[in-house]
Amino acid sequence: MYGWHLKILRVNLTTHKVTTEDVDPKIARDYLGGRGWAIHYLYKEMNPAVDPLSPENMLIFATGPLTATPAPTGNRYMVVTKSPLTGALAHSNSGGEFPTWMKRTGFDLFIFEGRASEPVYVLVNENQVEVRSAAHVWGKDTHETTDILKAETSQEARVACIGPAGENLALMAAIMNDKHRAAARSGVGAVMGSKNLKAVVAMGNKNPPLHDTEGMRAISVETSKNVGADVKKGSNMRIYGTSYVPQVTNTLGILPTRNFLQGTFEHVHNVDGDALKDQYLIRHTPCYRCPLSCGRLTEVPDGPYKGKGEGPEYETISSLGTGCGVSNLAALVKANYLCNEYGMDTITTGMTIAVAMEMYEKGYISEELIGMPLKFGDHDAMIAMIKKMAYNEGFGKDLAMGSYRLAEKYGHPELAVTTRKQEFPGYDPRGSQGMGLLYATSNKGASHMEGDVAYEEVFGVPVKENPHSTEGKPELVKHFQDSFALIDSSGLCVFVAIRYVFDKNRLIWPQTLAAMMNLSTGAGYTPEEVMKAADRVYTLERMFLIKAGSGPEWDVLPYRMLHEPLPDGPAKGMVAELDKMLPEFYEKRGWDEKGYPTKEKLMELGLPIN
Amino acid sequence: MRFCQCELGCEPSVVFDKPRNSNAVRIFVSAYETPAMIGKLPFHTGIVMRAKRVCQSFLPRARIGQMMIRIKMIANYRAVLPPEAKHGVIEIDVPDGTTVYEAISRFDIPLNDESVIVLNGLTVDLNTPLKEGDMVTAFSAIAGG
Repeated sequence: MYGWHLKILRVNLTTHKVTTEDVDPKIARDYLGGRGWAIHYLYKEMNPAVDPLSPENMLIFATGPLTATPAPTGNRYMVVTKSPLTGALAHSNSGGEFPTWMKRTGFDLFIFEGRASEPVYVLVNENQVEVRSAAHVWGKDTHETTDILKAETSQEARVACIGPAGENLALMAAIMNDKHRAAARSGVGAVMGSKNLKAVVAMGNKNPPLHDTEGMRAISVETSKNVGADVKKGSNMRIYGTSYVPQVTNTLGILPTRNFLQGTFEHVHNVDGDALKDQYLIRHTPCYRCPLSCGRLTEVPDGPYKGKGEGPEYETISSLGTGCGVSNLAALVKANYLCNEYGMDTITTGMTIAVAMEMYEKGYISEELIGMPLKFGDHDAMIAMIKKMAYNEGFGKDLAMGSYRLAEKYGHPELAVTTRKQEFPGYDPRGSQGMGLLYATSNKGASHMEGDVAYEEVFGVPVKENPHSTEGKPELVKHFQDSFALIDSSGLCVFVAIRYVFDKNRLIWPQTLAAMMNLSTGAGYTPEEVMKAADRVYTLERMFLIKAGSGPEWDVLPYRMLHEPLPDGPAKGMVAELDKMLPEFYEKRGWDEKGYPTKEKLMELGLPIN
Repeated sequence: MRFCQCELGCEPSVVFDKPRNSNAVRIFVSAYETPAMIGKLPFHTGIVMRAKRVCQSFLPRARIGQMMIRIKMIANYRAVLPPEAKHGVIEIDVPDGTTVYEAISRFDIPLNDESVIVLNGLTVDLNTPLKEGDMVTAFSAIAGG
């Protein structure tokens, strides 16, 4: 076989036993790789009802058949586990360099089971696999940990680790790799912390053999040329990264502002891409083999928010920035650095603080409880809260549970803007109806990375859809969910994949991506087959959710989206019209009217019926 | 209607309205919530001065057969705007009846699927005629998020 190693590394942290096993080529083909393989093993081997922070939960790092190949942006991996934040599935994606180095160890998947009795890290250098003590780095932030572990292993190695937030089991804890890149969402870092696993260090030279190396090189050069042509024309993603997006969503009135009390932010100019570029940008920082280079190194050179790091991305601006009503860019950048160093998801962190701010302003929680005033726009209080969350101090203990549990605990669940207990990203579904359907039905709770129909509703890629209309959205959401499952399974990055390896028809179509998969693996996929495999992956994830207790009864949107019309902007007066879309969506997915996959659908996809 | 272009970036939060059959100017502020009228004054130079305290760029403009519209360019498209543009927004006068397409064609951006063009934040037919105070926004369709 090509493209895949067809090898899994399994580490039992309780016993320190390390085993390797082969992957059945049929399973490999049917589940594509990455996210697809991970759900196959998770569903097959683990009871979905387990406590996510117990030793019984499995933590899977998964690369795809295009990871560590010449394919542009073939630098991604997925962290798949049961989420302690949502109780549903977690599958968080990250790029940088670690995923490529991980695949070069000669394994496609790392599976971590059990719980170490003391803090450990795992070194994987091809066949040299060691479970080592991490006592000396426990308590250290992600940057220090990375530096120390590289110094004691090899500068050629790459590190994925947790910071204090993961150690303290904060439910928004991320797994950071290469210091600044995050498999951020759904509390994957808390799962790692619960296993006493501080870090994974990967190195090696086992590039997977490709089915057609020359063909892969040619298609990669062609794709890179297409990206390069857009960059030359002036691609916003190159100039600004995603930080230009606040102006777009503000124009459309769907920029989360003050915990979704508004859809526009009057100080958006202070926190947009131009402000960031003019004041703090140093240079672009691409992931490995990325021709687009949307990452950016920034620095606040002096003052109380002095610091250096990467970001912020749009999702950080819309959560820690506009979501909290914060317009001080230096403080926002600093908050982003802290989240990276403590190892935290900026979306859940920001939106949880935003809920606390609203609760404080409405008098539901007191200054005494919090330890300080916590008004919208108070950037210093926001930074103080981030520290408390990471270290589980005082009111930080409440915040570290995420906004759903926080709002519920203090008697106001209607203020939490979540689905499946996970905070919304930066697109208000009252003014982007397809996103509402996506959030409500996502296998990982609210997430744009689960099938970002904002590409059409907001960005006009490949065509501009009216974001206020519900018509045609069920089919669109289904197609995007499957397309994202495919990209996440392949090992490519969504940013480049959607634009350059899908063909731009009314619905994007994976002609070029299927060709790349074939050049890598020799599996001879048709585009129809890879889409069917993606449907298989998505549907199996849904089965996991049902068994985990996060089934169709959670396909809902929070109170504010359904009952509080947007008060401002172009979407003024609108609410999310989920009811208009959900039945048709279930039908398009081949699920029954209650939202359960039908027996026929499971059989068609070759999935287990029970 | 005149919309605020002040440095606070609160558009369209400060609104001036001079009804045709009246010589008074009403000033609204809608920074956070429902627009609230904060003043109603006779239309003369004094009002302009007072208005400027609320909105620094209030410029009265009255030309027969012309209307003021705003063009907003986002991110890399800002480069096509003249230097007086503020936060990527410029006010221009166009003849009554001008369409979205005609207004945006005055600027050097691709008029194909490489650009997203919206009217007051809404997805519309580009042949839609504009009204006084409308804002046409354009940005490059390079995805983000």
